Amino acid sequence: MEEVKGYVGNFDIKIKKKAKYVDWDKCIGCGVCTEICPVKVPNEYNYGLNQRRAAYIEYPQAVPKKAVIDEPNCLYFKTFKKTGKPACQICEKGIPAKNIQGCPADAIKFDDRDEFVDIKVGAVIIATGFKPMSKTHFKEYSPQSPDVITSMEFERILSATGPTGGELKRPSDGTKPKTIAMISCVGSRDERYHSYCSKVCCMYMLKHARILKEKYPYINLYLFFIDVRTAGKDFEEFYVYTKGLGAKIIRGGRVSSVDEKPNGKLRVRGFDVDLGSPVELEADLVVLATAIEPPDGVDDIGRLFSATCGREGFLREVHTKLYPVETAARGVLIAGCVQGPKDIPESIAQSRAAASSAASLIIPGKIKFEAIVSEVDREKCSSCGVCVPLCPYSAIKIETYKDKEKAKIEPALCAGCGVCASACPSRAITFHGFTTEQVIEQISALVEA
Amino acid sequence: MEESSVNVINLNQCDEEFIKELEKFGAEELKECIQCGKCASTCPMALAGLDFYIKRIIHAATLGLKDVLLEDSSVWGCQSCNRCVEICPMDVKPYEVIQAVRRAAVRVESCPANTYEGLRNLYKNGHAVFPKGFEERRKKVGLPEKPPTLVSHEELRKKFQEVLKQTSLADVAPFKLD
Repeated sequence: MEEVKGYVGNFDIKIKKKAKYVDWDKCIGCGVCTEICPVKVPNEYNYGLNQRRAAYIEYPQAVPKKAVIDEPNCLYFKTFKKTGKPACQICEKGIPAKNIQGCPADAIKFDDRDEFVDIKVGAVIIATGFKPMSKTHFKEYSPQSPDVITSMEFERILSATGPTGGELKRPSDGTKPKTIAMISCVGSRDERYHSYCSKVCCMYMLKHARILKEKYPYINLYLFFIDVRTAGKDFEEFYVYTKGLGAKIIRGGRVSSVDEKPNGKLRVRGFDVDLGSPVELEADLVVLATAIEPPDGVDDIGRLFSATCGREGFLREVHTKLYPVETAARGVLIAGCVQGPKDIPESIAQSRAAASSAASLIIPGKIKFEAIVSEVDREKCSSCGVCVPLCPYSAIKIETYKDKEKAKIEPALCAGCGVCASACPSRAITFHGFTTEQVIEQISALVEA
Repeated sequence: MEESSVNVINLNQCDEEFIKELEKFGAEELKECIQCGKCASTCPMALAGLDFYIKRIIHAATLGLKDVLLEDSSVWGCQSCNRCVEICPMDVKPYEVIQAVRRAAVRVESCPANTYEGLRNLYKNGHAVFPKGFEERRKKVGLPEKPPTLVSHEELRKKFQEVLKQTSLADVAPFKLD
């Protein structure tokens, strides 16, 4: 997203499509380039637990399943920039000497350029998701140990298409862990990081526990919770079922430290409120259920659309209960974790709500506005421009009127906050519904009463 | 296993086999417990100030903390009132858990000495509680010397002992069943 102009019903948006260096009309997703490319870099999709090539398909289920070339890491571009001559074109041409073929679809396109697309839309739904918090913030949990991982990394380890092909292995030495500790509320419910509850951690910890216990019943599994929060349909039953499988639940037990031991294991120290005693555990693997964070760049996207962010950095809805998908900017809707932590059923419900809100905005072809907006009396306006930067909704522009520069308020963008009317030194701005006369009348009515 | 310091409970001692043993001894719904604490709020022993009360006993049992459970005599304090069984929302039957822990404890001879006294009385006389010198007192108030139970019926008492010999008492009794 490069540039946004206009307002509800008439957004002009400029989108940048990054150069992919692969012709997607030709690419058939066969993956040949991802196997023969000689450059290996950490795989972001698996949180660096394994490596990918510089020519790669983001993940096996990617839609569309097309390859891209990672320009900063690709040998062709690296050497071309340094010497003016490309040293590697293996993905395109293969290695003829070894009888290895290059791209069979002839789709490699080293001269690809960034593309800009202009689109006109009536409404926008922002659904950029979330970012799992990194473990590096938590010095008390030995983040330097490869066997202390986040739940997201653990999810990848358990995945059949993950870095271990679905095999349960310790990242440090590849052995199968016998004792696993999971720690909840890492970064959530913590005034130093995020004061909110990330909402989904309790349930995905139980999900991991259930998968593990069903697959490997002999694994000793300890789940450290502050308290178990399983609100939602069928969730409590899931919890009781998982307990029945033999997962050990330690409550009131925010872990105070995870230490590396000389024997390569990890010492976990917590408290068990049900036993009323401090507890200790020697674990092979520690999984941290780190907090859900707003995605990178959400404030920039918010600024582009004049949608505001809340204290925690998530995009803010107009009203938690009555307008849960609308933002301060009309026609800009939000769905999913960009608004706050939520689980899959909630995200789906909210995205459907956002889609129908967008449809009901644009399908009638006309939009009704609140009458409480400000208006400029251009005869009085002194062109000082004080109001322009004050408007939180960027609704005020300076326009030429009778050969002079005068302020103009776009009623479709005005949200009726009244800032401009109170600031205007020439009293040229009328705030409909709250004119000076009306306010004075109200005061005298109050005084009389 | 590494020794824990005094106040810390080492979770590595959690014993899956012990949990299975308790389940076999009647604590079938043990793992259903969500530690709501309803049992502890009604248990007369918890109200009387027992430190290691029912809720904690059940949690230690779900964790399989064999030593913690067997080194403490709290399970023997249970008055068998069954209030906990009546109110438990998860149908864990806390009293059954207590009984299961007792059954496990007897098998490793980890129970208070007077437990054996009771067992011996039960086998000998058909009463777990059998105070001495009762004959005199009974005579004073005009009752027959012996109560009209097994004690008075030698033949029935022998039959009762035959029945007991076929129970698990035969395995755990620290005295001869003759």
